[in-house]
Amino acid sequence: MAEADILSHIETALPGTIQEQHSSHGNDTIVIDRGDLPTVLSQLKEHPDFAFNLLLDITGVDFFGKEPRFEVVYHLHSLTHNHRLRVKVRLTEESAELPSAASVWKSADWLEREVWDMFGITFTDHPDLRRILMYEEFRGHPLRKDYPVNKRQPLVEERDPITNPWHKG
Amino acid sequence: MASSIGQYLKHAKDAAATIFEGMSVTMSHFVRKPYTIQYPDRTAVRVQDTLPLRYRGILEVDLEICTGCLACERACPIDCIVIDAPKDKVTRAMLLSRFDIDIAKCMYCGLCSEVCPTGSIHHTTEFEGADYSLESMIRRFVKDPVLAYKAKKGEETDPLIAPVLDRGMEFLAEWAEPVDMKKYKKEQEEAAS
Amino acid sequence: MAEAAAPLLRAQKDVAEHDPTSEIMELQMGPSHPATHGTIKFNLTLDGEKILNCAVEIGYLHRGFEKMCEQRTWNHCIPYTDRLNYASPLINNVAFALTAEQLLDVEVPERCQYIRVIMSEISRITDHLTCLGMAATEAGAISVGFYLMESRETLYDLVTAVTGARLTVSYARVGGVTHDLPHDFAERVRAAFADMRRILSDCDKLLSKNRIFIDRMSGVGAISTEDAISYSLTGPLLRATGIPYDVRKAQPYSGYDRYEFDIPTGTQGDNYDRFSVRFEEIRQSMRIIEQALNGIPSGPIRIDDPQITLPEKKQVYGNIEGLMNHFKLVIEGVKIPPGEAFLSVEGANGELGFYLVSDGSGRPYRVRVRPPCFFGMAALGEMLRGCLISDIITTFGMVNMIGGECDR
Repeated sequence: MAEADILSHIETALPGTIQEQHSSHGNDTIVIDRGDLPTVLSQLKEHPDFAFNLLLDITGVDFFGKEPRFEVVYHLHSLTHNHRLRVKVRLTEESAELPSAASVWKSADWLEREVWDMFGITFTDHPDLRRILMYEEFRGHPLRKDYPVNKRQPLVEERDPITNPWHKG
Repeated sequence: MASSIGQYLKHAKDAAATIFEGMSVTMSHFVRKPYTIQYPDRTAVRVQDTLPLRYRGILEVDLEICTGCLACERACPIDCIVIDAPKDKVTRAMLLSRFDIDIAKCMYCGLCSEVCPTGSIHHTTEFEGADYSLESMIRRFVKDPVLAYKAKKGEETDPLIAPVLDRGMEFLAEWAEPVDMKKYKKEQEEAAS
Repeated sequence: MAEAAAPLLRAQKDVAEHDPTSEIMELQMGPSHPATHGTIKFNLTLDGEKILNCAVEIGYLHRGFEKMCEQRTWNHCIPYTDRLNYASPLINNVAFALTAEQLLDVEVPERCQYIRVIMSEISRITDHLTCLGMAATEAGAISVGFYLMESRETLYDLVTAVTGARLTVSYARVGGVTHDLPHDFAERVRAAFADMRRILSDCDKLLSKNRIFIDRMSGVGAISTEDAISYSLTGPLLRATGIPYDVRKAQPYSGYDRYEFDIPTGTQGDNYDRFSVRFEEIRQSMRIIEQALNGIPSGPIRIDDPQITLPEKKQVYGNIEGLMNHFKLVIEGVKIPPGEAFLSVEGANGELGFYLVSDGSGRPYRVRVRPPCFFGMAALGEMLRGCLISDIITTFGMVNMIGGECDR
């Protein structure tokens, strides 16, 4: 399948889910509603014409001062067809949560933990949503634009690894 | 049974052969030239002299040709260069009253020497920067305020400054310069025809 | 001291109360274990020496790379990218510059593309040599480690001759590279490669058929193809499971479609396959460099656009236009039009991607790195399930986690 018609092909395969689509700098992008996210992602993975089996990346962007404030960006690659797609979900600050993709791709587990850690975007039904790069007692979400660069964090007490393990379960 | 004995013997043969092969490599190192050198006193030439001119060691400033344009101060990503360049109240000429580089902070990225228009600030091949206090890691290049260099339209004629400027240009020649694409394409076409 | 002794006392109490041989044990390995070259912590659940579960904790080397880049101009980010995968900094430089150029919709001159390919491949070789040398050392073959370091050193001499630094190269810029190749570069590379081929064949003799080494590596840390894809593994880890996916072939960048090279693959997805894939990739990289050196054209190595690259030094004090362009670039940085771009290159450990968002000012609005090691670490627990404690070291070595990149 030629790369140019992925977007129109997705439109016919998943009618009514795509809010916006464009193609810039060689990246095809679709914007979808967060309610459609689980069906769209699993369709994109399972459908033999798309077969986006490799989840390259999940990340967030904070457009502070604009509405909706957050964007969660998924980058997908297909090993069989060798094409790529960017899927975006827009979220407002008040309801910064969206369904998890951890059941579709195992790597989504850690990637979503990072997005939660850095942006404070909650993934519902995520198996184990906790901080990954920062420590448990860290306050705030560092990659939000309203988090000051030179902000200091309070000192935390040393954690006893036996009585208070970081990893629960 | 026979096959397992055969397998066992084959493994034993393989093991002996690979050990022999490996040991021959190890033994050959007895007669090879050693790669390591004893630093610093047993080297034939100073290590600094073997490094290429573009090696990014500790920064140095030639104040004679510093124009005080503050490009290096702006280009530094971690603000380790501090320059004060006030104007002389009487003559209205630009003075350099302070040029400090904190080499403890410097990460030797070369962004400052890349933007210097005269090659005044440049990296030397010196890399041994150990010292006893953080304070002494700050290199202060200005002792007494000096006049900033003023670039001339043509060739530099001052016999004291010309060699320094030539040296600065030598450092600058190491950095890539954009080539005039139109001229380059024309030359290519001429060469082709 | 009292805090340090507390777990020990508790363990002694446990031994007194229970039969320790029948018990599932929790062991915390790291974050600064001498055998793991990176700060990372494993929370192990052990049955004797067998690993029942391995929960990996990362983040000990988090420096806020992405936040730092948002405060700086585009070219200021280049030195920061050196510190991502410090075993192959040139690939990170090139990846960042390529993504920024994609946002600008410009293409660098042909000679610059060749130089970037040559330097990336040299970097890939140094990364693989480091990985293989360290893995061999940790498995007990210390002399192999030293031999590989020796050949790495000859390559670092080349990198120094081109970029001026061994590791912190800061070589690429948005719109080109900083230095041209020295005039005797091709001969030096050929001499270094002759040396390296000898060392590689030595190490091949010492390791690849060595029974002890094969027993340590073969069948250890294996992962199935389906799991590897589901965990988004790329690079040598995915290729070891038998999938010939290489960004250089799949989505060619910087003119990689000009060169002929093979993609080595494994079959089992275990440590020995990863080792063989990396070993073979060194040879393929040498092939690419030799082709590139034969075909490299002369010409400019930077885009000639005063909005992107610095003007000629003669122009700065020679005419007013050059002066303005120079200082505008120094003070404000490259102005990249608003937009977003994702571009990935084949890093030494897998697919290294940059997702850049620009808002039109001189600074990046958002810089996101897709670090290949991050996914390897996520899959490590899966790889190690059922293995022994000693297998952690070899598996961790072959996944080749680089803290600077994984934790950013």
